[in-house]
Amino acid sequence: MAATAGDAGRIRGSRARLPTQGRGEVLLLLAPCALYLAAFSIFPLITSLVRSFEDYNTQTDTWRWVGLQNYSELIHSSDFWTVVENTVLLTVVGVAIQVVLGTALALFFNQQLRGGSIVRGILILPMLLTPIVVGLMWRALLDPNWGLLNWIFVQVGIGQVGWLSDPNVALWTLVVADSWQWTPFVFVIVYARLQALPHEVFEAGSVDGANWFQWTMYLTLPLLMPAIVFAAVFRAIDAFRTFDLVYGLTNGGPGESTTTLSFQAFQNGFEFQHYGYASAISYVMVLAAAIGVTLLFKVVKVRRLETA
Amino acid sequence: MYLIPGLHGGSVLLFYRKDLFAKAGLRLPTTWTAYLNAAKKLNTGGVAGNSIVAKSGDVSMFLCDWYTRFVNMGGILMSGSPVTKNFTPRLTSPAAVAALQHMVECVKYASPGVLSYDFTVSANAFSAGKTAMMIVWSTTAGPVYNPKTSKVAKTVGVAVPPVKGQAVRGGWGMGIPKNAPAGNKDAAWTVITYLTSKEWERYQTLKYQTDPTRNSTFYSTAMNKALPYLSTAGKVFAKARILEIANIPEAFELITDAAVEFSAALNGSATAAQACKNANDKWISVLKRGGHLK
Repeated sequence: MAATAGDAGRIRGSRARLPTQGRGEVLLLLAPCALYLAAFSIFPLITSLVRSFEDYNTQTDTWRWVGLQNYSELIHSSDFWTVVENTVLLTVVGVAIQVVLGTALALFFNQQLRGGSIVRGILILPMLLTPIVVGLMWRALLDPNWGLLNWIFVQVGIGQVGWLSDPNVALWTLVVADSWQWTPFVFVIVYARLQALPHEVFEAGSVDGANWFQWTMYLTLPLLMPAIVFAAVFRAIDAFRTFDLVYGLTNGGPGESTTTLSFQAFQNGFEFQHYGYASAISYVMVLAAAIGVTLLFKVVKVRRLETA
Repeated sequence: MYLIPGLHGGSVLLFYRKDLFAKAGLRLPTTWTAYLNAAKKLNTGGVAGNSIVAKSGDVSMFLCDWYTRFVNMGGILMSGSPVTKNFTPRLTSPAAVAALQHMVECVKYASPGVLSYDFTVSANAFSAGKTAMMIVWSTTAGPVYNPKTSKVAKTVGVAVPPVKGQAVRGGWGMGIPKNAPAGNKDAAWTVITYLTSKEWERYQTLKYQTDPTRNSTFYSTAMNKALPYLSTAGKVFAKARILEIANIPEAFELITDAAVEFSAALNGSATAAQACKNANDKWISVLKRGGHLK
């Protein structure tokens, strides 16, 4: 407790503000990070927002203000809503599979089985690969002439499947490849949380005579929920931006059945040089992601308040 | 900018298996009906009768498979001109629809996985002995005729496309920007002179099996002894057509859009007529946006 009012003021000041002589060093240490953010995050964000209201002429190398024309063209284009649907399906279904499988694997490996540590190590290998490599690898696996999967299917009598050539199948092939790579991510997050759960809760449950199902449903899963939500949000943001897997595996086809918003932005920007339109697609993604994450956190916060 | 042809040219050839044709008692197809009949007859014994670049959005699908059929069926791709702002596509013309419909029929006698074939996979399948015929870039001949990269090097033959022997003209050029410093222009001119010389072209063609641009290389006896496909490639190159949309910036976008729409017909989710109409509508939209069509 302060002896005098002056002491109290000095104490309050020391909590609220840095000493004057240290502030310069702090700013100097923060400067590289701030510059990096300004150069590679803030500047591109603002520039691409401006460009989304402009059109680029490749012949004269000039930009022309077109207002909302790019956004209007986007919303009224015949393929935009198909692309949105593909992106949503890939995100929602893919992340759901990854969350369920990843959590189930984490619960399974929590049993401390013999050899479990070795299998856990192998399990996480897919997420160490770059997505473009995963796309090319799956493309080889699913090749109609040389791929292992179709060979097996033919041997067992199922016959050839157009994994990448059938428009009704190709998107689900993407979901499977994406889930193969990123289920380990969810597994790692949830498994780590499992190791940190308090034992006392489970001991209390044991005393009360809870069985495995009751443990899992009423103790384990609720305690794991923050980790599961964390993993789901991160995976959803990443899945929403999926480009390299699409590029490596299907190139957006057949038709537009696997074209995602990211792929469409890449195609319009880097292949067609329709830069303003590509920027508009990117900003639609930014808005959609911001709305989605905000809603998700609101739902999670409401549920936390309800259960508190 | 000053631009002259260099590096390499190229067109499209019909590649075929001489041994399978002889075994089936077939002659080289000179009509598209004969081509389809040959594909049907050759589609046996684990070998696909023909191959197509059918991967959605692949530019080679449009340029090699569709355009070759289209021009040999008498098709004219565009009317008007970007200069007069009446540059209008004719993708709904009878020749356009017939060309796509022919490809749809050809898919029945192609590999089960052909709908995911890009031109590399298609060429590899041919080199592996899995395909009897294909219509693809002439520069594919290099690896297909090479015994180190092809199982069919000794049994492959090439021919001009059926009917008129026409196809798209492709190639790469070199240019010097008009506003480059004078000293750099002179140096660039020296390099271009060297790279477009007869000697360099023969060296490049022999070493890398790229297609030349000079008739003296296409028809050289010594060159044809080393690369037997060259004289046929020269015949097609001489009659090849420059793609009518090649001189507008939206060319690549137009080709990709058409290839995406055409793939819908190839996988059965649209008719050839509908796919051509959808492609035509997309082209009109892009051309209007580019200011080439009012």
